[in-house]
Order: sequence, then structure tokens, then C-alpha cells
Amino acid sequence: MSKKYFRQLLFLSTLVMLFASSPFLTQAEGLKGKVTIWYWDDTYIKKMTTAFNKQYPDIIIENTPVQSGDYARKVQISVATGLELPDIIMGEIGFRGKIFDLDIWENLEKRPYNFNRKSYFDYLIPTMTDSKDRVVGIEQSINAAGLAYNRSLAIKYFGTDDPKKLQAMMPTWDKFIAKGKEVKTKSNGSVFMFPSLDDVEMIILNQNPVSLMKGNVMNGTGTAGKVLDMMIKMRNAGIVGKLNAWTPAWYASFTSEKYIFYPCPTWFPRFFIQPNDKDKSVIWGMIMPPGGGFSWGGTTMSIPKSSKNKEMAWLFIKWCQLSQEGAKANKELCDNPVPLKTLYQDPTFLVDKNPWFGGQDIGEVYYKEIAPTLKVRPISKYDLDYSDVMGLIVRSLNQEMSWDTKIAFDKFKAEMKNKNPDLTIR
Amino acid sequence: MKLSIKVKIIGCMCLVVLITMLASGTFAYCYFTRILRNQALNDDINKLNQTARQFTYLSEDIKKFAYSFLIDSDIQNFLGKTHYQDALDENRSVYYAMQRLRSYMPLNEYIHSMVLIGPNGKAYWNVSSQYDSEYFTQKLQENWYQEYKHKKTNNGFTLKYQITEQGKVIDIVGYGLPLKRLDEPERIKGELIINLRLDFFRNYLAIESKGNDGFVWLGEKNEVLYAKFVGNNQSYFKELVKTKVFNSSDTTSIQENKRGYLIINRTADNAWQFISFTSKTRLYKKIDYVFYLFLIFIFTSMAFAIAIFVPLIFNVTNPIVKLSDAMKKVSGGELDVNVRIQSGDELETLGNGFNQMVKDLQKYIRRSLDNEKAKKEIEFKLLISQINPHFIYNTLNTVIYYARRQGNQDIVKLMSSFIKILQDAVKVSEQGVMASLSQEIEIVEHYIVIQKYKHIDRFDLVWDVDEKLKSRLVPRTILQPLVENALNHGVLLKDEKGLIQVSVKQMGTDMEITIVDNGVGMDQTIINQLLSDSDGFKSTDSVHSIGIPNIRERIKFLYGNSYKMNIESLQGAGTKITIVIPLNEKEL
Repeated sequence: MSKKYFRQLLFLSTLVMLFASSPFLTQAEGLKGKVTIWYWDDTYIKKMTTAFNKQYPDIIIENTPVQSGDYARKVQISVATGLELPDIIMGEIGFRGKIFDLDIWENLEKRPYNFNRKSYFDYLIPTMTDSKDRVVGIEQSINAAGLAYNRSLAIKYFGTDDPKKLQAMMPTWDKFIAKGKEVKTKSNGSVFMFPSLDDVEMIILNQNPVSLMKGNVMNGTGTAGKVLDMMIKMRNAGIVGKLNAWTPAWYASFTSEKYIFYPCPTWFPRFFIQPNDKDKSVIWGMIMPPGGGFSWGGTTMSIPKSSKNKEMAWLFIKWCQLSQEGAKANKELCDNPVPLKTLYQDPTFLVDKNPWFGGQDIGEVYYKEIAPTLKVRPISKYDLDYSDVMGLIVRSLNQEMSWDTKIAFDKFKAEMKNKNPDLTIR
Repeated sequence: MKLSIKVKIIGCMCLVVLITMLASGTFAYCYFTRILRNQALNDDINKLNQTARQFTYLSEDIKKFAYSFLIDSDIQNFLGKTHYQDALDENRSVYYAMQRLRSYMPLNEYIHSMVLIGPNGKAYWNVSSQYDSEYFTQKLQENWYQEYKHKKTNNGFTLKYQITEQGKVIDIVGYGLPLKRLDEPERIKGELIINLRLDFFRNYLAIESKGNDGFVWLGEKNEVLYAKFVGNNQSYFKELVKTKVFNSSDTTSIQENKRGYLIINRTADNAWQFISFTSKTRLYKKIDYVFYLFLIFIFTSMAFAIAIFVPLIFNVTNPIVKLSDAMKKVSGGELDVNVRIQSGDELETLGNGFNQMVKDLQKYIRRSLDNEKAKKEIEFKLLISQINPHFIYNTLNTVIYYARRQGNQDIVKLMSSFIKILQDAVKVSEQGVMASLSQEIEIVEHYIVIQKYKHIDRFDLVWDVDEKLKSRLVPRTILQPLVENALNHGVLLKDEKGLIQVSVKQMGTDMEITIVDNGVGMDQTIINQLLSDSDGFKSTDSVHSIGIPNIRERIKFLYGNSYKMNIESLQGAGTKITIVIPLNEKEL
């Protein structure tokens, strides 16, 4: 039996197993009703619903846009006040730990859902489970992240926009910082490697996917400590802009021709590059970052126990995330790579020639170079607090230039303690 | 064309019902259309008022929501700090204030974000999980904020503005509230601006204005915050909105024009205006069903009326038609007709009357025919008898001439009486059926003279006649046949001399004639026969060949059943015949 034939057989058998695994599936035909969702990405829901309704025309998917920054609080308030939750709740990686800690979720590995965790990439499972290792959310995508770069600035300051050459030019962060200093010199301090220290934080934090918590103790040194160290190095080198991420100035930076690199997970082009550069004024490139690829972000779909339409909610999740049609719609309509192992045995599925990247097959970077190496930090209920406190420290770093790693780390610990007095941080 | 009574009545009934229904239907349609139009307009007004009220409530909610931050400790802390230990201290202060604002946002879907303007003049915007301090600091220079500041009011809504977020342009209306420290209430230390999503309100208005052809929400400066144009009058309403010709100072007003109705509401205390436009086409379309309802009502009522009235009309007209048909038959000479009507009303009485009338007609015609026949017979007999008496009269005159020449007075006397009787017989045909009582007495006396020569000393006749009755009219030849019967069938059949008494007396308004004899009398069988309708006892040898039945029939013919003849008889003792006739006023 040839290897290719074996792969095809495995692919088909996995699909058959997936479709046959749930009793819901056999009853799916003829289902009629409405499924409610809260999701900040209304466009995604609209596109996927259009495709879903071709197969299931009698199921209405009704989305209420809720900003991701307000999401965890809205869920908490609803649970506390007894307000009705939607049938599907989204869990962004930043607040997922907080809401997964609530005992309100359906175990999707149990009947009648029967999700098979082996069908998904193994590295994602810790981000889809609660503290009792129950799968309570289905991850939407592979969140492999590389470095997106402005090709014209790369030619201008590095003499090339070839990804391979650039990758070879900056194999480590030290080399990266050195190149950044060159850019600073060449541009008289007007061009930076990154627009914001927040970008640096995201990369360093996620390149080092150690668990935030070791039992009841926060591993501060292994997480925040390393992040702060790199940020201060770069800040001191003067190679990072002073913008704050997720602000209008940061959104505007994509076309400003002042910032060369952006951490770029699979969802980043869709959410940030495309909307902020609708005219494709910048041609982008993609490389593996110094220190390797990482996983950033991600959103799960969960069903709360209170849902009155669990069957239809699961049908929609399953169609989007576990079916070939759904995976195809995800990729073609929303540029979203579903993390179903079997899909990636098909070489054509890995191709992602994004128009904003000048025809570069960024799928090759994401799926061939980065995805096989991915590791992800397990979620914890302190993720949100960590993120908020780190945001304050990062914001302050640009104002308090005298802060070294130790001072910054002490400030971090003090702020975390301030929010969680009983927390032990090492 | 001759129409039957049935067709006429049904036609009239249909016409009356149709006219009545059309008239009442038209009136009711006009009346109800007016009511429904007013009601539809009132519904539109109420709906618009309700929308305006909802916006007022929402404004109040927003105000109260904003007020809830006034004394919040994180906000107060943010406002109070002008000196910070380090950047982290400042960032923390802003961060917690931002977090406090954010914590309430999930409860209000219409809030996009919030802006906190600090004592340093910087505007912090809680756009992300952190915040931004640049975007809104610059945005406050725009017209919407400058206009708001220019108003110098404590709080209120701003003009419309736009926020660009991740390439998306979002329409916003802001609500501003000055912030003060509790320990320095006289000084404004900062400001809160709540960014409200216009789309949220627009979606609400889109639902609320579903029944309108146009809907506009105008801001304080008449800027269009929401506009909807549908139907055939889009361009008209667009132009109206463009020129903003809503010239009324009333809080709620209706403006009617050729195309429809504009309803304007200015009740919102933030100078917002809501204008709805409903075209006449749409308004009348709403109440068009009334027209069809009335048409259905009219035709159903007509059908119902016809269904009820036609059988009733048939009940009335069918007997009339029957009567009419029967009358046609009767007028055609067919008397064997019987109409059967059982309506229990006047028509049944009419039918029975008709049947009785036909029966009577049959009877009278039959009797008339009989009388005519009898009359003809009498006339024939009289004609025959007129021949002989004239001849006999001439002959007897010759006999009298010769008897007188020869001096035989008996023959003269006898023949004279005989001639008188013959002359009376001639008079019957010449002078009618009535004669005076004295004429009748004279005939009897002539008859008696003759009979006395024949039956010498066999009888006597005694008269008892009221003198004043002698001139009264009685049926001609009524006495002589009776006297003749009394003589021949009573007195002469006895051996001894008989007596015949004739008396005529007045009995009130009647005349009573009695002929009594003391002859042999007769048994009851004969009496019954004489008084029955059959052609009974007849004097075969009487002068006029007229018997008692003839006299009886004549009396009945002339005077009706009330006047009749009575016979009493006792065998061997005699007979009494009594005739009572009305006293005739006429005299001869």
C-alpha cells in the first residue's frame, strides 16, 4: 500500500468516523429553529451562515455582536443575574480561562456530542479544556503566527524582501535587535522594527508557552520576566515605536511606512491588515520569527448547559469545525484554517496565497514551517489579569525609560498582587 | 310587456333592497372610512409618540447611567489626582477608571465606548482592553464637540460624529456629562462622553417605522440621524427632508398634503424630532378592506333578503295567481272551477268567497235557465190560449146577441161572465203578471156565475175582503185557481151544499189571503205533494189550467222563500189555503 493511498484512506476513514460519531448528525435533517451566538466577528457568522444554510436552510443563526473586551464580563454578569446566555459562546484566548472556570459548559466529548480530541491538533487541546480536562470549547483555527513585514521597507533597509534571506538574516532576537539598530540609524530614528512594545510582548510570551501557573503559584519569572526582559532590551535599543496596540494609531500604522514588522497569526491578515489597508497600498511578506513560530490567540465555540437548542448549536459548530464543507467555507470565505488534522493531509488545503502578501504562499510558512512546531500555553483563570497588568507595565515602559527588567518585574508582581492579594508569584 | 305580479313584487323588492343597501352601505362606508382613516392616523400619531417616548426613556436611562459614574471611587480618584508617583501610577489611575466604565458597558448594547476627559485635558478612550489617549484628544477639536461645548449646558447629547475603528466607520451620537470632585463641587474637573451607536437606534426605528412610507429622525441642528424612504413617494419625502419644511411649532402636529400625512413629534427634550410620512395610497390601502367588506355585506344582505322574501312573496302571489287563473276560466265560461287556498289569511277568505260565488253563479244561472224555460212555456201556452179566447169571444158575443134578441137572460149572463174570464186570460199575456185585488175578485165572481149555472145550489161563495186592499196589486190569476180547486176537489165532491169563504186581510206589512171550503178535504200526502217542488197537483180543467204548484212557484219567484202558501185540511171537513204576500205599495 502506497503512502499516498494510506493517507487518503486515513482521511476518508476519519471523516466517516466524524460524521458517524454523533447521534445528532443522523437527526440533523429536518431540524428547524434558531441558534443564538454572541460574537464580535459578525462578518464571519454571516458568511458561514450563508454557506451553512445551503445545507440546513431551516436553521437560523442569529448573532449579537459583543466586543471581545466586554465578552467575559457580559458572560459573568449574565450568569450572575440569570440572564439568558446564547446557544453558542465564543472564547477568545485572552479571557477563555476566566469563563471556562465557570461551571456552565457542556462536555463536548460526552454523548451526544462525542467530539474526538484526536481529530484536532494535539497542541490545541489544553486551550480547549477546563480545569478538569473536559473539552468544553472547539477551537476555530490554527493560530500559527509568523512575522509579517512591509516589503518595501525591507528592501529599503535590509536590501531584500525575500523571506528566506530575511529569515536567514535574523535567526535570533539579538540579530533582530542589531538589524533594528541599523534601521534606526539609516532612518534617523523614524522607522522602527515594531510599532508597539505590545507586539513584542505577544511574540515573546507566546514563543515561551510555559504554563502561567504551577499549581497555585504563578510562574512570573518564566513568563512575564522573560517578556519584560526582551521588551526592555528592544526599548533600550530604540527599535520599537511607542504606539499602544489595538488603538486607532496602531491600526493606522499598517500603512504609515514607519514600522517594518508585525506579529502575524493566521487571523491577523483578516482582522487587521485587510481592514486597515483596503487598497493594498503595502505589499507584505511573511517569515518565521527569530526564535521560531508561535501560537497567538484563538477562539473557541462552546455550548452552555442552559442552551435550549443544543442539538442545532452543535450541528452548526460541527459543520463549521468538523466537516469538510465547513472547513472549505472557513478557508475560502473567511481565510480561517480549521485545526482538523485530516485536512492538512491534502496539500492543496495548505496553500494560502493571500493577495495582501504579493502572492506569497503564506500557508507554507504557517502550516509547513510553524504549525508542526507549535506549542501553546495552557489557559488559566489569571490570563485576563495577567494581560491587563502587563498592558499597564508595557504602557509605562515607554514613559519610564529608567526601568530595567528587575524594576519592571517588581512592578508587575506588585500590580498582580494588588489585583489578587492571595496570589503567590515567583 | 305584461309582467306578472310575482315578477313585479320581486323586482320591486330587489330594487328597494338594493337601493336601501347601497344607500346605507355608501353612507356607512363613508362614515367608517372616515373613522378608520382617523383611527389609522391616530395609530400613526400614537406610534410616533411612543417612539419619541421610548427615546425619551432611553435618554433618561443614558443620563442616569452617566450619573452613576459621578461618585464612583475610581472616577473620583482619577479626577482628584494631578500628581503621580510615576507613569505606572498615572496609567493605573486611568486604567481603573477605564475598567470601571467598561464594567457597565456589557449591560447596554447601545454603548459603543466611553471617553473620560481628565483634568489634564487628555481624552482617554476605552476602545480596547486597555485604552487610547490620542484619538479622542484630537477628535474633541471637531465640530460636534465644539458645538456641544458651545451650548454650555451641564449635560446632553452631541451632534452626530464618526469613529473609525479597524477600517470601519461607525456613526455615533455622544452624551456628555461634566465631572466634579465631591470635595470640590464648584469646579468641573473632567468630562464623561458616552459614545452611543446610532445603528442601534436606527435598527429600532427601522422596526418601528415599518408601516410608514418615510421616517426621519432629526438631530438638534436638523441633521438627519436616520432616514427611511420607501414606496412611490421617495423623492417627494427626500426633497421634503432636504428642505426641512416642517413648519410647525407644536410638539405634535399633522400636516396633510396631496400625497399624504406628515406627523411631526418634537416632544423629546433634547430637541430631537421624529417625522413620519404615510402616503394616502398606503393609508387607504390599509382601510380598503372596508370597501370590500361593505360590498360583501350589501350583496349578502340582498341574497339573504331575497332568500327570505321570495318564499313569502310566493305565499302571497301564488293564491292570487290561482285566483287569477280561476277567474280566467270562469270568464271563459268554465264554471266547474274550485280554488284551493290554505293560507289562513284574507286570501283564503277571498278564495273561499270566490268558490262560493262561482257556486252561487252556477245555481243562479241554472235557476234563471229554469225560469226562462218556464216563462217560455207559459208564454207559449198563453199564445195558444190567445187564439181560442178571441175566436171564442167573438162567437160568444154572437151567442149573446141572439140570446138577448130571444130574451134569454141566463144565457146572456152566463156568456158575459165567460167572456170576462176569457178577457182576463188575454190580459195575462198583455198586461203582465200583476193585477189589482178587485180585478182578481171580479174574475172569481164571473167564474162563480158560470159555476152556479152548472152546479145549481150546490155551493155558496162568501167574500170577506178589506175594502182598502182592493186596489193593491197581487199576482194575476191567484184567486180563481184556488177557488176552482176548492169547488172541484172539495165542495162538489160532497152531497150537501158547500161553502167557500175567501178573505183578504192586512197583516202588518203583509196581505193574507185565505180560501176556506167545507168540502171533502184531503189527506196529508196530497198536501205534501202540493207543497213540494215537484210539478204536482194541477187542475186539469181550470180556466187557466194553472194549478196550486204554479201559484206556489210564482209566489216564491215574486217574493222569495219568506212568503209561501200554507194548506191545512181535514178529510171530510174541508180545506184552508193561506197565502201571505207582502203588501204591495203600488196601486192600480
